[in-house]
Amino acid sequence: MTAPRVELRGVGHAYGGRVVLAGVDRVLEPGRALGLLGPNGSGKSTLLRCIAGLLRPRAGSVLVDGRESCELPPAERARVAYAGHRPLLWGGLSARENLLLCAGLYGLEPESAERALESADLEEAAERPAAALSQGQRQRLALARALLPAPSLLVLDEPHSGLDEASGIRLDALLAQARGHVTIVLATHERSRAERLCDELMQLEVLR
Amino acid sequence: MPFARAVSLLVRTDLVLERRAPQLALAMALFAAVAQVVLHYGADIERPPLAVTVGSLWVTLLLATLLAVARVFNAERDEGLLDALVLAPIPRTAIWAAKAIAIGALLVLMEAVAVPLSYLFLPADAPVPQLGTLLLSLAAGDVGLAALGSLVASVASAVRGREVMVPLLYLPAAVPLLIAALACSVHASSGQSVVRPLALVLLYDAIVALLAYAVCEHALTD
Repeated sequence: MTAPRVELRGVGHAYGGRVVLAGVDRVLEPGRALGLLGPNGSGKSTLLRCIAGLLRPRAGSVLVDGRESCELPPAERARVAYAGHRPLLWGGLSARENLLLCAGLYGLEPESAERALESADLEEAAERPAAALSQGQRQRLALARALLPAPSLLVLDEPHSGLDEASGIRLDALLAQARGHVTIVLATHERSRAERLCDELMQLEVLR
Repeated sequence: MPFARAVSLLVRTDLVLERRAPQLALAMALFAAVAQVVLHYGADIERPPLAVTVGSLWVTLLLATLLAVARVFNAERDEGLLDALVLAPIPRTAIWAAKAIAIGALLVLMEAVAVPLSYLFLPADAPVPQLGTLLLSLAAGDVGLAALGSLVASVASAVRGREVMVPLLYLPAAVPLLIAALACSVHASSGQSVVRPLALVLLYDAIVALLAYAVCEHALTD
């Protein structure tokens, strides 16, 4: 799958009366990595959800290869991976069952789930319920789930939070490897990491 | 991914989770049993008319389904799993259909408790219900309750104040179904033809399914 072009056209959003995003314009060419920086409440997560197609912006539009991100047909949605603050895991299912379910939903072979388990270094915890994993293990599993379908648009919301140093380095290496082939939008509080991993940065501010 | 495969995967997941922690099934079965016993002994009617007995059964089913409808998307909402499902390359109506089947399965389980109890309380000389027709009327009513419940839960999952929204949307919308399903069950229990009320129940089921098809693709995103 080729990396998509992402276009933000005057994107705005508000929760109740509180405006969190206003007039955000940006074009992200295929295979580029964009780092989103900004304090808490500046709308990073909201913008990421709009890009992933999980949230319809109140104003403007988010286009993924020219189509509204919220209106992507099922086959196009398979290109988008999103890892947010919450791990998007079924707590009552084991780590292996979570990945097998994800593989099933994406029409992948069960072997891909085994490979993902291995690459996340979770083989020993494979049979434990996701709810019983440590925070770091859950985060690794969440990333393994997001990356399982080999997406071409990767939307990551502070993916390093909860990871130990070794896992963080491994994720950095994975993102560096993906650069150029995958369009990446990454929200982080760490400017140095964003500068290292991304081609371009975008600073968001809390709107008053 | 084909619709049927997606539905089967999601239903299997829901059933596995319910089997491991059967809170909802137990709560619904207990509610059904208690409601039937209380209605029978509390009302203290020596010879309750058939319509009252069957009516109490359907009201019990409706209220117990409300328990399931209010909770059916709990895991998905609390853990953010709805995001994972909405992003997956599956028709979003598959999410609705899977939840409807899960609610339907819980309804069947509950009926296994409530229906025998309900008919146990009928007078000894009451007409013997036509079992096949009665089960058909229950099944048709279950489809409507489950389909409507899943639709309401899907719509409410993306809005604030969903705890209030679910009963406000579900109960009034279920009234036409309940009237037709009740008539169908009374006819089945008294040996009359069920064709007309059953046709109404099936029409209701079809309308809810069409509505879900039209709404679910958009309802599940914020």
